Amino acid sequence: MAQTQKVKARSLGQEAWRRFKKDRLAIIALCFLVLLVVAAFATLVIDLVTQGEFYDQYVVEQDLLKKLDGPSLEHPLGMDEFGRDILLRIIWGIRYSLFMGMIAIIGAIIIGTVIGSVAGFYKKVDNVIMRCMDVLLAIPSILLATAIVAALGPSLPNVVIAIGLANIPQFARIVRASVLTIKGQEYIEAARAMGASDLRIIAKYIIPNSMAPLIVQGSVGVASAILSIASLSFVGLGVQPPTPEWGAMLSNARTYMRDAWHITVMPGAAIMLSILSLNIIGDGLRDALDPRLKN
Amino acid sequence: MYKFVLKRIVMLIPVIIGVTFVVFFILSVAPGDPVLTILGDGATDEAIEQMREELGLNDPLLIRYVNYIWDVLHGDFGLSYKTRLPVSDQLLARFPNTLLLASCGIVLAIAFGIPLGILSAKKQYTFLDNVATVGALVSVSMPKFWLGLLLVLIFSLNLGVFPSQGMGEGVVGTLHSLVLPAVTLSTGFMATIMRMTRSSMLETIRQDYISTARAKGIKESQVTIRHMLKNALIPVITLCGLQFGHMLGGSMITETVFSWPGVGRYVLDSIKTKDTPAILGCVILMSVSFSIINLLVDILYGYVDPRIKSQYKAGKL
Amino acid sequence: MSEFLSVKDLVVRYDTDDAVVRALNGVSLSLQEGETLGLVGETGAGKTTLARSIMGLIPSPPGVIESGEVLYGDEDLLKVPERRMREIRGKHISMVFQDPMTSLNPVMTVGEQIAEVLQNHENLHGKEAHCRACEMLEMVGINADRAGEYPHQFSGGMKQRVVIAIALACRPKVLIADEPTTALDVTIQAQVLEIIKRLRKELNMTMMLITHDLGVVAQNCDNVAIIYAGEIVEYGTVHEIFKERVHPYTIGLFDSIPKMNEDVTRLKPIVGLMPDPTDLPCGCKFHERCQYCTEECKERVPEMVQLSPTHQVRCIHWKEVAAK
Repeated sequence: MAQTQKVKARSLGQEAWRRFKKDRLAIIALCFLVLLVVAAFATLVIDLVTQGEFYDQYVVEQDLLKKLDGPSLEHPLGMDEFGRDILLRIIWGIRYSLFMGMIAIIGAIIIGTVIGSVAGFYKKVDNVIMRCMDVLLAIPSILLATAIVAALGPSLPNVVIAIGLANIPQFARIVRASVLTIKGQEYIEAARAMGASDLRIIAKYIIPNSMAPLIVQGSVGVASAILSIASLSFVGLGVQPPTPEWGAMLSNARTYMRDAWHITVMPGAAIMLSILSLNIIGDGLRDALDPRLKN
Repeated sequence: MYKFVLKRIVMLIPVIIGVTFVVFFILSVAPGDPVLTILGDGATDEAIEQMREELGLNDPLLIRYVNYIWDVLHGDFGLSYKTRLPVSDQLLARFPNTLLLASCGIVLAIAFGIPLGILSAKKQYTFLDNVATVGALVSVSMPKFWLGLLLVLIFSLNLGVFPSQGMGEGVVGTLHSLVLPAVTLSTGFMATIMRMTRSSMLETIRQDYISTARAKGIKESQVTIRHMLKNALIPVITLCGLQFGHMLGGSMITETVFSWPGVGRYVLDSIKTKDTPAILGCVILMSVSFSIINLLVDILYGYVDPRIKSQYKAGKL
Repeated sequence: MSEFLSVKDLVVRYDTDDAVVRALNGVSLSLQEGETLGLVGETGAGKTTLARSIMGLIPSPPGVIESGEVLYGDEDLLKVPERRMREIRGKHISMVFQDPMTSLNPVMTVGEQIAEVLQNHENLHGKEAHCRACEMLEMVGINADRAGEYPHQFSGGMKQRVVIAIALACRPKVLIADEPTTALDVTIQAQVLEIIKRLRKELNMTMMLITHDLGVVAQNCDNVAIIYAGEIVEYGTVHEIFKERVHPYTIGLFDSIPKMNEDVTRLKPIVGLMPDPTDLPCGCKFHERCQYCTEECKERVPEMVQLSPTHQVRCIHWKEVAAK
């Protein structure tokens, strides 16, 4: 009897984590992602400690003697078109690709949540806000981001802003939808009857209850944001060389593709693996948070 | 039914006005003076002022927007800042290429995505299903530009089977040069369609009416085609429509990789030269096409799903 | 009357990710031609699994038929090739499913859905099949004009009539009705049962009526099988089950429904829950809830005891129970 009670006492989050743990692929993906994050922090620490010396010397400094050298023991992923170690550049690039994607999506989630809960909660403004969101959704997101970058000028912060903005509508829609379902539930009535304010209801009931779809959409959103940042950098609208952003690395590598395959393959593989792991985690989270969807 | 179609078209108008305004607004508040872009830094103040007047830059934003839309409705997208030639000529020349690429892309994506999804669902948990599922996951995660470069690396540089750049002459040449870009553009979408078809099929397989159909003693192939597919493909249709819109709007990466002479490349080139009328023209053209495709899908949906159709008839939607 | 359809020692399990669900554990029963058998049990007792096994519609995976026979005439339906099974489904044996809301294909008109089974088994084409479909609709009390409408345009009771029309279109010899009225309003329930009863007589069908409503059983059935945790625990004529029941579970079932002629303030529910089919108890499956339980019940699986030519019970202490 004691044991059954223990099982029931598990929170939704713990329950989801228990299910998520069973998904071996998702765990591998999560480990890979954690590894990337740790590596990114390590590079930040190295830059701080060496005051950018290491970065200048190994990541940016050109060594034309070694240019386009293939993978070797010393440089496992080979050298790029200016004789820089591709592995080091990829590791230093994590912060641009991965972190900037996360920042863009976290920003989009925060703003989207505010807009969505306001729209769902206050009928008066709902129509106006959602029509605006519909208009933004009616523009393909990469096109919208391109237009914003075109207006603001190509640079990393502008790309992050553009991708964040382009992603707001979808999160606003998710939150609004959950607000509308949750608003009708009895326990909201009950909270109201006890004199809870709107803000309290939003913070205590609405947001926690719309977390599950937000988390799932968020993990997929980060993946697509990384893809967008890399794409924009690839076409020259994002991070500018010599910053080791993965998309920008590929863009430069294009010219030398004929001479050395590894300089196109390696950065692309880095992008693909991170997006793949985020997508796997997204799938795993969806199954864990909403087991009914699992087939 | 025509009433519903009419209603949808009317509803599309504010969306298009909104979309064009947003794009116009974003690109108009861009820092940097377009006049300097045209005339260069050495221009006299007089010349600049004259140019500003000519371009209508001294009017308030809203007036400029109305004027612009008025011109666009007459087929005039303005003059390019760089070449001083009509943007509409460029759009007219390039849009068919983008449309061709996107159409081939969606045809490929549907032709492989839907059958693979069905197969994968029917043979759930088999080797084939696992391979298809993992393959789809990898394809979804594959950056288009990277896939494009890999294809060029393998099929153009090493094997020399397909051209890596540009658009060929004549029907055969065009198709020949279309293979790699179309494959590149479609792979991700193909995987998305496959995943959607699979999960939609699995959802349908569990439905009670499939048991009813089986209990009738009809062949399994009939059960699949008549009962499962018809239901399972309804959500897939929406997805395909959306995907087609995204292909049109998102083809710029693929077009850049393969130097495909489409609207997508034009917009990127124009951004680099700060050619606002050209950027505006491209983005507006693509967004409006996207909205129109969504409308078509919406209407198609009504024809496929009797439940929605009768709601239309009852005037509920 | 000859033995017509019989199930012998059927064992079915479902293998899921987490556990093995033991759905049927050696079920035997038989239907004579023209008889109506009521199959009564709680939710999860294995009623639907039994019905689906007879139809050859156990979803596999996860379903596995471990052993047993389903004899129809002299054929074992578990062994006949799929092609023959398809001939039997819909033509010889038909099934009405539990939930009419979801049993009809939403994107086909009801006429098409009825005509489909006719086209399949009777080689009827287009118009003919459509005419017969309309006749079937009239037969279940729906205006033939509505054949061109879609399921969502019908109410629940009407949908169940359509499902019945589909099941009976080819005049099958056996009808398996899996809780045909559970999902319907009480007033509609009576109508649907009336239709089933009438058509059963008209077509001289043998029927297996799955339900957990003893009232329905009393009105419609000749014989009754009580199923508990994948086993038949008592099997007899309606009279025997209603008047001379001896299994503690059957008695519990009857005690838990209100009676018109007795003045009771409280109903007597059966204590406890049905055992988890992934973790069935040893011995008699009912022992945890049984007031007659002894050590023997916990260890030994009771066998079926023949009380009369028609009455069987699976209980070690049936004499004591009967004596009370």
